[in-house]
Amino acid sequence: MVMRKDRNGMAVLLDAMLFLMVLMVLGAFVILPSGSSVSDDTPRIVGSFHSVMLKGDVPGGDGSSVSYMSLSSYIVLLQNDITSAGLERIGKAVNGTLVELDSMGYDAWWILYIDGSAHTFGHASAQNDIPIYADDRILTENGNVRCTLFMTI
Amino acid sequence: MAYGNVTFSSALTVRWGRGDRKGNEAVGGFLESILAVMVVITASSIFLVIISVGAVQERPVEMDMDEITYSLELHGLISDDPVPLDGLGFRFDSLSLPEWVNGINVSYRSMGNSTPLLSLGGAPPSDVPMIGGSFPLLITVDGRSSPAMMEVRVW
Repeated sequence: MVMRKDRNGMAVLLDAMLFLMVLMVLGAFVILPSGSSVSDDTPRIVGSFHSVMLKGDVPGGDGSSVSYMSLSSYIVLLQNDITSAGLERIGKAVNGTLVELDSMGYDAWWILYIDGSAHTFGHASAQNDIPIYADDRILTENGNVRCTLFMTI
Repeated sequence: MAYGNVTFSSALTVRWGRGDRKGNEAVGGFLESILAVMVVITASSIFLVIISVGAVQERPVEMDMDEITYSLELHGLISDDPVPLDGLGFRFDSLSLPEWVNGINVSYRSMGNSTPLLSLGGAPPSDVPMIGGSFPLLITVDGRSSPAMMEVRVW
């Protein structure tokens, strides 16, 4: 009889200690501050800058209707008759974004593809072993006009 | 159950009965185990209180940029649509901020240009903790939408 009560007592003690250990571990997880996981925000940044750049009006200041046209619309308008003046105007529209990204510590460049021919604005990064983030936009339904903003850290 | 002494051939005398709480193999009896559980519970409670008090004292007020961004979006100071530069001052004056904010500065400038087109709010002091952010957006000036940067600093 005494031996059975002792074994019961030891079992109760062991269960209580296990319960308290679990409770302490849970309490430590709840009370102690948890570190937030760091997520890569760069793809979102590339997309935001590219979207704003394409929606911005084409610079010109000459008061023509083109001056109130978004960059994406202007590119689509020019797709069949791309001239050096048109490319220069596109370059001015893109330059502000590339300079801004450069000031933030990124290497950024933008490539416009029209019917297979590529027009590069900015300077592509010369480093080969770093990740490159890109945001690609198709500006026409048949896909013959598209543009990509590239960015490296 | 028999009480009293029993003598074995090995001359080992074993006593058992109600008066003897300790057996050959057990460490302690039932009451002793209850007492041990109470001691463990008390020690654990003290330990948890010490941890929680230390955690509460060390954690400062968190400056949450998401709260600020939400408020700026709600009042039209940040938007996916073009933001007219005129009228931003009125929107800024109606800005509602969390209680932990002592001051805020919002400025707009053309992308690639460091000169602000518009700066709202006071100048941030130099010796206080501060959080901030930059957001690309479109601003409308004289009917034309231009890519711009909006910078916010909160202290």
